Amino acid sequence: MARDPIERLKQRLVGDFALPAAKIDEIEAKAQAKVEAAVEFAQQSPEPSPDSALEHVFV
Amino acid sequence: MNDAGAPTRPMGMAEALRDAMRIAMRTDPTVFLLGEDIGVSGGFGGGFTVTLGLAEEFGRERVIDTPISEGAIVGAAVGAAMAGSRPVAEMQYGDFVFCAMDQVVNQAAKMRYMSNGSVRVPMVLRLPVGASQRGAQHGQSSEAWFMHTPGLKVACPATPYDAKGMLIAAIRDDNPVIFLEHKLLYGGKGTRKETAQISLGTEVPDGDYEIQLGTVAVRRAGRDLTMLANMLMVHRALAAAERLAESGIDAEVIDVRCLVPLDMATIEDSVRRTGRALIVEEDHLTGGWGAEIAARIADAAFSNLRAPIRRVAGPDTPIPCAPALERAWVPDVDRITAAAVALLGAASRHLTVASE
Repeated sequence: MARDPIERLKQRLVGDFALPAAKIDEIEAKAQAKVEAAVEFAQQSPEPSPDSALEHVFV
Repeated sequence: MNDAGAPTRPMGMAEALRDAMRIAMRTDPTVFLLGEDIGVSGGFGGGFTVTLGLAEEFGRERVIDTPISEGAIVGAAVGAAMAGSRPVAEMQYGDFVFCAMDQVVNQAAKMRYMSNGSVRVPMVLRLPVGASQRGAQHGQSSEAWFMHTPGLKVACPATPYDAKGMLIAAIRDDNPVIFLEHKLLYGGKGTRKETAQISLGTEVPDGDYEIQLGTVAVRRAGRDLTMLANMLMVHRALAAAERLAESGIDAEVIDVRCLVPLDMATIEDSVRRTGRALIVEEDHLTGGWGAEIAARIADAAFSNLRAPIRRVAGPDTPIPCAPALERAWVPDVDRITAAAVALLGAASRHLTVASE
């Protein structure tokens, strides 16, 4: 994990660019919520109709 | 739409394509060009003069010289198209598109589908194709690769008139369009001239007109067989038809100027009338566009066929470089004529075919 580029980016942003650590937590929470909402949407949605596999090839 | 009655002048295909881009750029500020050496001051206008003078009229911001990176050229075009521009990207040789296949096949062709229809990719990718004594890596015709990829339109004009009208239509189309241009059809205007090129000298309207993608064109009406060809092979099929006519064989010649979408209705109507189909394609036989059309004809019009569907195509070898070998490799008028005669079978057994 020491060389994990995401962890290293966090350290640089806090250490070299004076980003408050709380801001990092806020960004991560936002991303996490977005993914969870997408998963929730996918799980709650009905299965797509087979016909829709043929849509949106061309405008 | 076609402004019949507009003034016309003779143009080669390169000039017609240049005129198409000029008109599209004048009428839509989001249209821009990118490719290798296309806007160099005092340059050649790309490998084949097609963009000659456009940088002078529209500036280097809209006629962008790129590094030699096909992936970067097509990738930049895909991104610009998704963001609302109408890029026209050029490969110096159509063969180089294989360096950018991920951008064409995985990105351009799939963005609309993968975004559930929320993204459009209105771009054109121009590919100079065709054997022209440059060997295996500078002479392929790659339409079959792209016909196999859903999400791409595939245009392959044979005349300057079609080239202009189809390129304007392609630039204004909201889908990615692969636009093939045969090097021997470019014509002689500009500072460089192709050897062994075909002189077309057709009259082309000066103004703005579009030829709808997804149409084929009957170039010669006939009763005895239907010849289907694109690009350079249209001209050879027409020459073969003239030779066949001397022997009383009346060939219909259809210019399959667009492969996706494909106007099968016109093709089926012709084959139902003639009962015979001869497909003439320049590139390799196996997996070519002709195989697809043959399958569709067999499916739709089997009961109307009086003979097997035949193909004349390049062999399944790389394109040779030596002029004598290339001449033997690319289908010529003799081979096309002989195949037509064989297709007519017993009905024309008295015909002799002159060889070179």
